[in-house]
Amino acid sequence: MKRPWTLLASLLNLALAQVDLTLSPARLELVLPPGGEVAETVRVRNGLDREEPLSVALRPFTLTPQGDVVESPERNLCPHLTATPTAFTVPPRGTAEVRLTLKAPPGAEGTLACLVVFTAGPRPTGLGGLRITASPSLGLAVYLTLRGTERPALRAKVGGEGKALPVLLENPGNVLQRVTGEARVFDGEGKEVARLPIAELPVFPGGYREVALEPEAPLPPGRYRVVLILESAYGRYAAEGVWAVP
Amino acid sequence: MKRKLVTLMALLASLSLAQTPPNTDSHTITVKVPPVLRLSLDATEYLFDFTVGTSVANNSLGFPKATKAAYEVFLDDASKTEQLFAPTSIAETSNDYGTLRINTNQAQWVVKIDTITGNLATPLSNNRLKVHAVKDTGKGDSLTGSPGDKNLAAGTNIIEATSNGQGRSVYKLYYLLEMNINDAFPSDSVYSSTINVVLLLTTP
Repeated sequence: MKRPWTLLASLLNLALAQVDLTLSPARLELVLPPGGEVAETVRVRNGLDREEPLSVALRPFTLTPQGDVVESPERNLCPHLTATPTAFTVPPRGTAEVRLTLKAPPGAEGTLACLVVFTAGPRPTGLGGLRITASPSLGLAVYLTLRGTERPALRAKVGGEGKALPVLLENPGNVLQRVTGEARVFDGEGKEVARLPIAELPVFPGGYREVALEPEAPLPPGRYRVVLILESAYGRYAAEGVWAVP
Repeated sequence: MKRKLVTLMALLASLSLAQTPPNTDSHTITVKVPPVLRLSLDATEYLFDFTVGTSVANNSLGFPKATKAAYEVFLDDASKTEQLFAPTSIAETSNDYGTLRINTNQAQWVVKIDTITGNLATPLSNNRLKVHAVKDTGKGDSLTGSPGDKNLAAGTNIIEATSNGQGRSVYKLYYLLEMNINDAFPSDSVYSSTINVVLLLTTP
């Protein structure tokens, strides 16, 4: 049971929030034929009792091997995406809607991406001294795959040494691969000793991802056989390897 | 008479059962769950003021809070050339850190220092500022290392969940300022400078 003072502290934290924004949907993954168009509505909710002015910016991005979102001009969807409006105010405890219109460019192939960034303006500050003001921003990752141009592929490598299981996922295809599955870990006698899940992990086209799957409870030192089974919208993939736990 | 009534009821019951259609009925159950990404901050302004204050006190990470007295102690300490200071005060909270809260039903998310608007005037500069995140509750991990390790720089990931990030996650957010004994401040005015830091939450 939650202690009363913990609950009180939680309520005070909520009450004192200076910025409270919710984005829905949190991500968009769309499929269109080349030349096709679609419009989507994104909602931003303001959890505070005062207005929240927001601006919208579009940025091309890619994912690094660690899964970081970094700006990149490759596979740029932004020129084909329009956000309306680009500046608006969310009323107190209210919701604002932004309409995203996408047109699939003819001639492009595979998956394109654009990050739609909703940023709150800085608060008015006091005078004098050295001041840092903080503004929040929510990023909506938008992926568009051009139907009929997909060349899906995925290579998986599992195994190595360490307390966490190293997994390398390479995507030599031209579409975003969002993979879900698990690594099954077997001891020397063939007994399954752990299952390490992977949930909705994105691997950018032409890129790769490095992940380390950590078991909830550390495994005893030894060598384990690992079977990795993954599934995406484009098929099922499997790999096998050996994991040495020091 | 009673026996006849019971027989009649049994007959009606059997007729009722016989009329039950052989096919099973079907229902549609629809479940709709919106994908959600929520960011909340309780503090949006951190002040380092070395012009006032007679107290020398540390923040919860063990760094002295910026006051006139604490700065004088630093200037008088021949053993130090650098010192990290914590903010004098943080607007809208009595804590010595800001609280950042993430609520989501997405497995992966990342909070990064997206952009920094403005530069601290000389003799200071933005690379004198450090950022530090400490997990209070929930999911993900801080990527800022030990306090004072991570420079405040655009494009820096500070908190991340690579899997199982769903639910409510709360982090304490600290900013620290590095002062150097060789800093030469203007003699005819009080130094003041402001920068704006944008924190970006994304689920890729």
